[in-house]
Order: sequence, then structure tokens, then C-alpha cells
Amino acid sequence: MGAPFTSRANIIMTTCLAVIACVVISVCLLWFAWPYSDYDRHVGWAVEQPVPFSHQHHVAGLGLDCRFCHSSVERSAQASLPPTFTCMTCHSQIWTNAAVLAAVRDSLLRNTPMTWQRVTNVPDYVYFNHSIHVAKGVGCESCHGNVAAMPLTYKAKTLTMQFCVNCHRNPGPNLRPAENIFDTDWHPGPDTPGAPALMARYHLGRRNLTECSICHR
Amino acid sequence: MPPVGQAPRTAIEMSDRALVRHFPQLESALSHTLDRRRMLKLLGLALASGGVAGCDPGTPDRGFVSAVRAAEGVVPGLPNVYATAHVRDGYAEGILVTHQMGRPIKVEGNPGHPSSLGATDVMAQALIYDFYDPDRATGPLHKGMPTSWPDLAAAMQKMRATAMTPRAGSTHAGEGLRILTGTVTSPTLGRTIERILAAFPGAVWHEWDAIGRENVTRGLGLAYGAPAAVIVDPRQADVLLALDSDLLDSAPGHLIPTIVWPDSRGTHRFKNVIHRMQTIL
Repeated sequence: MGAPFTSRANIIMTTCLAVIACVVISVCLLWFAWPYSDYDRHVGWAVEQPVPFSHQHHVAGLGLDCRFCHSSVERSAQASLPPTFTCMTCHSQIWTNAAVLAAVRDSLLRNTPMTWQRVTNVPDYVYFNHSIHVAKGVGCESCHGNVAAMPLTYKAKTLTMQFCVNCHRNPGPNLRPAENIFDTDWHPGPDTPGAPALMARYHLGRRNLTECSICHR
Repeated sequence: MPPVGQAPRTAIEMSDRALVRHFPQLESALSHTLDRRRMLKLLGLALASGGVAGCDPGTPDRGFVSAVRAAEGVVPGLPNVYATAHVRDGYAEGILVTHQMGRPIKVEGNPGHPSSLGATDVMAQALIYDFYDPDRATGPLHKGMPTSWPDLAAAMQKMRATAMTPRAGSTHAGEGLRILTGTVTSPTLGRTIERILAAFPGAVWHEWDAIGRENVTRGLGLAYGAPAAVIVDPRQADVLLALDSDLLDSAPGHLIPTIVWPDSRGTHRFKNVIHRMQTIL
């Protein structure tokens, strides 16, 4: 009876073990890293809406302010979506026969609300409040990206917990003067106050903003 | 007060046929007994279904539903408060209801209302369940199916002609027309019903409550010689004797006596009288 294994058996065995180890490690890494990927967070995906609303046209083209439609953003936790009536303030006069606006006209005619799909989401256990962020100098752009460059609205930032906590640890660099909060493409200029000055202006830094209960109530 | 019919006062006085007529489900309920084994089975099933409910992945995100016209004074995400009244057995108490975009979330007493002074009772607090009760009436029904108010008005217009014509052998219009309500203390509703009764002399108005207070009403009628409602001020009393009455606990309109009763502690006229309440049930 000859030898049960040839001389190549050692190499085959080592290679197999190495491949199995590689697969296990990569699956673990992928499983851990997958939720952080832009693909899983749907970053950059345009969401299909009942009307292909263009922020680019309305904000960059016509110069509408964010608060014209998202009227409660300074007062309430929710920025709110505009009622059909707001759309029809203009669209009863212009583009009255446009086919893409049929859903808006139907909504007013039949008194049935329009249902918009969520683009930017945080989980249900996160209590996000728009008004306090706006009041403390965080611009819309910091989380929603430059909507004036979006023909169709998509999610611009990952909005993972890491994204939120990065800013809560050190809000200074993400603050802007009150008059620039609703600017969609804003960059600090030479006259812009520095991060410590803005922190002082908005009375930040007194409370630890990374306390769990600030977001998870 | 509408006339009280000469119906048997208790179920024991009824004949078997009358019982079946009044309570159609009674016979099947009594014949289908629930023994111990069957009840344990049902309890086990209920427990198991509770576990199944935990497998629900949760409500899918169904998007933002934006209003067609913005409701006045409503800001999405901010609660609103409005003042209304909770009526029980004809006694109204003022309440403040907090709501989020029309969905009530909290009931509290109205400090500006004389029958509440900021207090509520358990029944008013439990209203929050009533608001979301799937069986809560949301509109008129026709033969058990939902119908619209215009349809109801049209149907009543049609019936009006029939009701106006007196039946054969009778001189009164409106015979066969019956109105069934709970205790009505709303002056507007009372006036409206009185106008209907004046227009249809043959019509009959029945008032009925699950736990009625007709004995109280009758007793007050006997005591004062005319229909009366008593507004109790227990501050004037040294000793309260309550006979089969929950004056300070759960009787309709009990909030104010309950609030003011402790005020008079230690202020009674006779120093040797212990300020107390005797209840005989």
C-alpha cells in the first residue's frame, strides 16, 4: 500500500485553509461595513415621486427660499411638505396644462392629499428636530446637500449615527451665520466669523451634545 | 321628560318570548357554554398569537401625506389644544384636548370651565381610547352600512311627507315616529326636538341611558314639586350623608363637590363635630 497523500497534499491543504480564512474574514468585514456603504444608505439615489419636482428649477432657477414650501422648519420638529395649495399658488397661473403637474391639479380638484416619498430618513428611535438645528446655525445644506443642484431630489449624506455624532462632538466647523442658513451652496469667506466665534454666538459648548438622550429619548 | 313606557322593569319579569325578542343573542350565548378546557385552549391561543405579532416587521414607511389646504393654526409637529366638553348622563364638564395635526393625544380639565376648574375624572381621561375606538361612530349608518349626511337628509325629506299624513283611524301627524336619545341637556338639541314634537304631535321621544338617573330626577321632582337639578355645595355641610350615591367619587357632575369638599375641613360650625361623609349603599 502506497502513501495515502501525494507530495502536493500539503500545498492544497494550506491553500484551502487560507482561502477559507480569507472568505470568513471578508464576509465579516463586509457584514460590518455594508451598513456604512453609500449603496446601503441609498446616498445619491433619486426617489420616484408623484410629480418629478425639481429643486434645481425652483431654487436655483426661480430663487425660491426653502421656507416658502418647508414653512414650519424654524418652528417645529418637522420641516413639513407644502400643501397642494402652495404649489397651486403659481401653477394655477403658469404651466396650467403641463402633463407632469396633473397629479397636483387632481389633488386640488378631488381634495385628496398628495403622498411624497421620503428621501432623507432617520430611524424611528432618533428624535430629530429641525427648528433647533436651524436656530443654532446649522444650514440645510449640511445634511441635505446642495438641493439647488438636484434636478430630482436625492439623499446627499449618509445620515448614519457617525455622521450625526461627528458634528455633535465638534459643531463649530459646520456652523454658519444666521443670514446664510438657507443658502444652498455656501462656503465660508474671509469675513466669516471663525468656529469659536460662531460657537459663542449660538451659545453652544455649554451642554454635552453627545449625551444619548439628546437624540434617543 | 318623555313618558316612560310600561315595559317590564327587570328581565325576570319577562316571559320567555319577550326575553328572546329583547335579547336575540341570549339563547345562543347560553347554549354555547365555555368549559374550563376550552377556555384554557383559547387562552393558550391568545398567548401564542401575541408571539406571532412580534414577528411583524413594523409599519412600512408610507411617505409624507401633505395637506391639500393647510389647516388654519396647525403647524406640523407642534401640538395644538382646543377646548370642548365631555358630556356624561347630561352633565358636561369642560376639557382641553391636546392634538397633533387633528389626532388627539391628551385630555385634561379646562381651568376656565365652571364644572371642571382644571380637573377631570377617569371617564374623561379614558376618552382618549374612545377617540381611537374602531367602533366609534364616524357618520350616519343605514341598515348597518355607512351613508352620507346628504343621503340621510334626502331620505328624511322623503319620509317627511309620509309622517305628516295621519295614519288611518288617527288624527295625529307623526305617529310611528320615534326619537331615541341619551339624556339631553343641550338647550339647542332640546329645543330642536321640542319643535319636531310640536310639528308631529304623534311622535314619541324616548330618553335612555345605560345607567339612568331617572330615580334621581323623580326624587328631585317629588322634593321640589317641579323638575329640578341640584347643584351641591358640600362646604355648607358638616356631615354628608350619601344614600346610594357616589357624590364625591363617580356620579355625573361630581368634580366640583369633590374639589370644594376638602376646603371646608376645620371650618365647621360645631367644633366637636368631625367633618365627615357617611355613605350607605
